[in-house]
Amino acid sequence: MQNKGNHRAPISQKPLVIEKPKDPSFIGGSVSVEINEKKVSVPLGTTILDACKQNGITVPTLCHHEDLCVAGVCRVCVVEVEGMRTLQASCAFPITAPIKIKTSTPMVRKARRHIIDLMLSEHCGECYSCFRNGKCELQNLAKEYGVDNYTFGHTNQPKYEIDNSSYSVVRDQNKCVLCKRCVRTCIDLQEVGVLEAVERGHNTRISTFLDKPLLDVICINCGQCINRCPTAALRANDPSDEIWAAIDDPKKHVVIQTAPSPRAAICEEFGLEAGHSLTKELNTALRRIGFDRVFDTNTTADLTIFEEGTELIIRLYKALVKKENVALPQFTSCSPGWVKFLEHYYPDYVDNLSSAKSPQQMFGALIKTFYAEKAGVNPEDIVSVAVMPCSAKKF
Amino acid sequence: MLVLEKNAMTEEIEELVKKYGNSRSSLLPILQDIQRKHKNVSDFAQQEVARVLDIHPVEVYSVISFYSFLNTKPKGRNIVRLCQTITCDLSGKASVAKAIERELGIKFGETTKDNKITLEYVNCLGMCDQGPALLVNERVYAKVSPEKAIQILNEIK
Amino acid sequence: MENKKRKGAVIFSPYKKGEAIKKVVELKREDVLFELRESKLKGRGCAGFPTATKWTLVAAASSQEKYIVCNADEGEPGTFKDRVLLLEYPELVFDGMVIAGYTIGAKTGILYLRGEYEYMLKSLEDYLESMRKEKLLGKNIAGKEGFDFDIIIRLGSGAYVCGEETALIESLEGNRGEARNRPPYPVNTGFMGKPTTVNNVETFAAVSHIVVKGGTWYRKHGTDKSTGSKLFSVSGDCERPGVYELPWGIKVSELLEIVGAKDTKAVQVGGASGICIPKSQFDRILGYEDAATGGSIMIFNESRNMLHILKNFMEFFVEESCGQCTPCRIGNVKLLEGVEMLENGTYTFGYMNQLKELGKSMQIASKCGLGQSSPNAFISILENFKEEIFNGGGNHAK
Repeated sequence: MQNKGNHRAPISQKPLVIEKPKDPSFIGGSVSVEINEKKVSVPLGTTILDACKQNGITVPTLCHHEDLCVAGVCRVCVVEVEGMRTLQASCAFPITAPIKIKTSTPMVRKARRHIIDLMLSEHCGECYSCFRNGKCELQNLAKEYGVDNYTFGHTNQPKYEIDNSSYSVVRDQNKCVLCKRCVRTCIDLQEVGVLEAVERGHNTRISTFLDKPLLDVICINCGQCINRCPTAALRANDPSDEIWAAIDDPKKHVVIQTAPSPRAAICEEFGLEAGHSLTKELNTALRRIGFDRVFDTNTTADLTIFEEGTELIIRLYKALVKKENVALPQFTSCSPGWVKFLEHYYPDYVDNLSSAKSPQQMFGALIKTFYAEKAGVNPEDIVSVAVMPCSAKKF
Repeated sequence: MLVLEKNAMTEEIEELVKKYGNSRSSLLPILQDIQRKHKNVSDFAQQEVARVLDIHPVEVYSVISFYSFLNTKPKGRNIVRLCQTITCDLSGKASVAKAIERELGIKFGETTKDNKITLEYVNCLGMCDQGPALLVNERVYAKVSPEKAIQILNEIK
Repeated sequence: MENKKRKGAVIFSPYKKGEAIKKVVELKREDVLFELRESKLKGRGCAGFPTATKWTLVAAASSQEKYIVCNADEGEPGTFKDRVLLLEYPELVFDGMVIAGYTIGAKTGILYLRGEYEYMLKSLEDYLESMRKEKLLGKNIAGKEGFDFDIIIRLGSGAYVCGEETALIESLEGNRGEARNRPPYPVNTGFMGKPTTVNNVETFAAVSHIVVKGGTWYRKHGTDKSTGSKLFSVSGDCERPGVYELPWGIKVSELLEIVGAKDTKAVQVGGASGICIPKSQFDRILGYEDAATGGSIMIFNESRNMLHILKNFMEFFVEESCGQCTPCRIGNVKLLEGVEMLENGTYTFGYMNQLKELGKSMQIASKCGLGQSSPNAFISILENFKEEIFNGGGNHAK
């Protein structure tokens, strides 16, 4: 499949074609608008939403995501624009003329409450039993707008089966609000194109080719859709029960390796500033949980560098000195998601992949061989767990 | 699907691409031609169309599922559609529907056992002044009474 | 199929094939736009955007590539004027498109024909071929050096929402017929991202006449705000349903008289997405200043059950909503459930008022015209037929 640049997105969701001047200080480069009776000046083509953000005015959003192209489908971010009969989605409205915007009139607030209420009416299940409880964008919106009595009803009857066929991504469409963030992520950002909206009207749902389970389509398990899902419709599968079972089993020797990135990322869960590494704290915690040994994936990251480096030197030697035909450049094989992507979409380049395993896989092999021998444990009794930054590592 | 059939389908789709071009905007005409000939767009055909237009198969599937005149599941050789919108409804749609169902022995949304006729409802056919209206494949019949409907059905091969 | 019609003084006035094209090539582009502005012609779909303004915007766009799209996705329940125009007066429509091509500077025109009208395809293709033979299409049209224009026909596939101009363009581009965000408008970013004008079949037909007879002549018909005539598609309980060309500004009661409607209880103006007018308001005027319509007039007599009618409309919208934006996708379902409650007698007045408020939010917060107009019928029928609906309307005979 050829790369067509940034044009894999459904056209309705493509970025708006408004020519933006490079320097807003040129004449006609910026436009003055009035937001809630405050006069401000913004570069031509700025969306209402961005203009509000730049001036410290909050507009609620749901389908909008800064990584993704515009959708304008949830309608939560509607605002009043003077002279227009209907409310306008602020995320999708580029400012090209001096306009007057009001972000919180009674009409706007009522429309937003209605929209949130409608979403809740079809959003199956209760918040307290949901794993996203407290981190759900829909829940936050409902709280902010005081939408708490299910005016238009509420369903507890799941309409769709949960798809947990995939190694890493669990899809529960009963929680889906059809914001299409996953569709835009998959098609536009990742260029994988596994998810799209199918059917129309009230039957619209996000689905795969022929409604197949995720395992049977060419999903690369990258998990980027999970990152951007505002609700609990998409999540990583959770193996913690199996790990607990292994830890509780006295016969099993349970070891864990941690990658550098989650050691830093976990700090945000404890309210620390992003980028703060908690290696020692995490190691202690893991030991207290009951893991028999805690390893650092850095060790095998070094090994991977040796392997891949040596391989590259050999390839270069063959190509430059022996004038043999070898695949160059050499691509890393550290990410299972990347490897799967290449296999599906660019099979002609498979030879360019390094033959080395990823650090995680190397450590897995080392634990069951070198470590087992050294510690005197039967490899069959070792359960190897890894804390990794990417859902594709489960594949 | 037999390999021979697959090859024939691939050839057919490549012909269509020659006719309409390989840009995304030719997707609908290509699908419509396949639909007209085969009465559905099969799984294999969807994949082939995606391949020749260089788009993802799920996008083809998504487009087909959006339009009510395109479908992925096989249907009968003839598709009989009865208008269900208001003026046809008020001018006797229900009795025509009953007569057709009784005659064919199937309900709306079903296909006869011999695969001859698929029966469906459709929204406004633009024959509101002469309802009830019936669409048989692409031919439209106006002022359809129960008797006339049966007569039309009998003429279908 | 027979097409009953009443001929009026504008659209159905005498016209010879190619007449307007031969005249237009003698004119300057500004002159055509001037005549259009003089005529005060407004879009005949329903929205009523001034045609001259739309064309001027596209004509002024700097792009080399521009498109003319004729919207023949006539899906509004109760509308069938385009069927009559395309079957019996294709010269008016296609000549209008060629005029648009000349005025705007486009090389390609696309007729988006709804899938349900596939039976017309052959005759329309043949007609285009005859135009090509007579040099009314193709290169150097009507002997005008450098004026090249051709028309292709594209079929829809059964989606009402594709009558919305941006959804139609999406469909032409091979996508789901989902409306786009606006702005940018099609006049600057339309088909394939190029400036595009999308006009109704009837608008093009009117343009042909305006070019031949002039904008001032056109403006003489109708009212000040709604100039010219309108093709009304009349259906339902009347003696003579069909297409009627009548001047704008006619009263509902006058129209009922003409078509031979008796015992009329209600008139649905503007199709399922229009409003329902009760007997007490039959002196209302049809035109952009009062009850605007794309031409659909559905007449219901005293024997009809308004709830049954409303339910049919709401079922239509639930099925035909494209499903991308929240208010329209879920809102219509809630309104339909409300109608079912009314039928079963399980409603509360409080909840019905909530639904009316929801309808008002849908009218302003939906992404496109479909969701913005789908609650019209619900709100107007509940308002105008309170007595029938709340006093045992559910058990009323159909």
